[in-house]
Amino acid sequence: MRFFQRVGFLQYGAAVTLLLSAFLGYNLFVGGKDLFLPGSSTKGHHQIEAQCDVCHATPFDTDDAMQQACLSCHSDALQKARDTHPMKKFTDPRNADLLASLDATQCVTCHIEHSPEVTGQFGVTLPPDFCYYCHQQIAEERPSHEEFEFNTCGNAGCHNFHDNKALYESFLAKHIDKPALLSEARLRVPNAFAVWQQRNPDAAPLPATAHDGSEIPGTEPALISAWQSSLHAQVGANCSSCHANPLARTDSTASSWRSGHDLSVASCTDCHTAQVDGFKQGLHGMRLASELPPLKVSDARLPMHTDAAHKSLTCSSCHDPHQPDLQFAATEACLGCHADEHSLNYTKSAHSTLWRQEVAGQVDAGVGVSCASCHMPRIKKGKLVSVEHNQSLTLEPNSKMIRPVCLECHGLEYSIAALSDRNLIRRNFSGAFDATHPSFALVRERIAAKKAQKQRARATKSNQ
Amino acid sequence: MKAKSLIPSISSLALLTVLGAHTAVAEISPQRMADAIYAVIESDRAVYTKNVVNRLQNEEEVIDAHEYWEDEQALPLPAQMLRMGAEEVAEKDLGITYALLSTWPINKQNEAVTEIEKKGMEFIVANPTQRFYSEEVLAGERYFTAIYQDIAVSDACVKCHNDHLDSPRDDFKIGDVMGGVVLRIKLD
Repeated sequence: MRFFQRVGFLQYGAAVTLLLSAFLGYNLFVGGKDLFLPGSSTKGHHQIEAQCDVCHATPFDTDDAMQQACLSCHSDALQKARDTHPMKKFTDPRNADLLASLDATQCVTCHIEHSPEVTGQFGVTLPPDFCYYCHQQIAEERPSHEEFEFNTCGNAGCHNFHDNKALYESFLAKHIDKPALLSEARLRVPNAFAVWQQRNPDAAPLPATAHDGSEIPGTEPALISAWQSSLHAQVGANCSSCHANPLARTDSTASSWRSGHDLSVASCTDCHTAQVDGFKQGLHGMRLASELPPLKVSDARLPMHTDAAHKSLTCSSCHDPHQPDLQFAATEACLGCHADEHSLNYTKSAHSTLWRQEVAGQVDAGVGVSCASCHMPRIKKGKLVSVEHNQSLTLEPNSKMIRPVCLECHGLEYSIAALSDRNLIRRNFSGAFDATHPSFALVRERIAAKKAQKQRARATKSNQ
Repeated sequence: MKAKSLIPSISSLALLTVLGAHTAVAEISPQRMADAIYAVIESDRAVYTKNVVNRLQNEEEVIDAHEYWEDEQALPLPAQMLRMGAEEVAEKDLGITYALLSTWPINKQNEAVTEIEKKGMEFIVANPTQRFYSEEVLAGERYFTAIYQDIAVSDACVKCHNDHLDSPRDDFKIGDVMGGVVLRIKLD
């Protein structure tokens, strides 16, 4: 009391308010904004949680604005997934009753952020039996499903809400009884350089003497030598192609040379646009898309090697720009940081053995399986086979990996069963496992029923 | 002055009356609009069925039409074309929606749901030459609802629906009413 009498209550209050404002203001404008987060973000968004306006354009967004924010990042992936529950399927007013129970036109109906206490697999914040709202009569339509509880619809290898490309019945039927390992077990081989050569038959590699990097700070003979033996020199990309700052052409105050993020990401974009775009859509690069500094390994939630904590993720984290080594980028780059059980067990796997053989030239290209083989699928468009650089695109649900990756070498039931077995995934697919999946038992029953139906129809016809 | 100022006022009034009358003449009833939109939907599908699917699949045998057209590198089925068009229109949020429904749907999500849909589907099956028109209120909004017969026009329609394991009916013939196109116009 004596203190208040001496300083005055109002002055004391003003001082506390000022200090508190300064503290909160620092956290909001300079710090990580963590004091303003209503709850921890999901593993898919924690990388960008400090950039509130990526999702919340204004402090009091309408539902529509929030929906647009979700779609601005996720619509491409949903389209690639051939989304089985797209918003446009539900906007017909005939679905009004369904929407009153579960508004499937809004992402936030199922995916509420900052709610770790109710967040389940795939960032879903509804109880896992939510399919009941619309599919409660499924047992009448499919008696085979009578015994299944609604919280099992989303079991691994059964159904996904968005991406069922590898799980729909006809697809299973088409691939039924395929062997565990196909006779032609081989991944597609990226061929960007070969395609480039076909399109540029007269192009000649740049010799070491042709380099134009003498004035670039830090230029060393070893770097020039590395560059000369790289694909960059083969396709005529000189030092200035990456290092020269294009702004310097119009702005005399701008530095002549690129540096930092501008050099390690922006310069790559000039030629590798699709790859950089993909990288920025994935968990590794999404901070760059939100104009935040690159993700640091120390910020990861998965177990990482402690000696990698200082590293950050840009293009050059995996690709040494002077000597791009795609084999290094495909495994060592990943294993240099990731220290979870699945990653640590990779070197003990059959996939890894084949990869080492491929690197040693003992087997054909495409036979080995690196980390990137599975997590950065090789996509064929026309004649070009390129690497999908959004390594999150096929991560969850992991059945997204089946078509672009697993089916290149394995049968469908084997693949679904393997990806449904969490222990097997932790062991990086080493050791024995049950290679059957209940979905296939149901499909076999359906095929038998179809045959019986046809026989009955033939019998009826012949009796007439 | 008064008389002079009256002249433009009367002229304006007359002009407004004429414009108003013109506007009234230009208005279109929900039923006529629904019929016109349906004519476009139906004609587009007929053209696609005849000049694309039937020609390329059955006459020239160049490419098949298939339910899983993306995976089979095939043409979408005519009914799928209609549904895809309906989804595109739904995305535009113009207050017009349409859907292909049936009393015997392969996908149970495509059976009549609202009372008007149920009444209308019964009506068009029982009266194959008459269309069904009504109004209904859904989620607090008033709609003009028209339902048109969807007739089996080719072997492909009949065969697919009769053979499909999920189809509750296997005795469709060409000319049968297999379902209906439900078209809604939001009434302001």
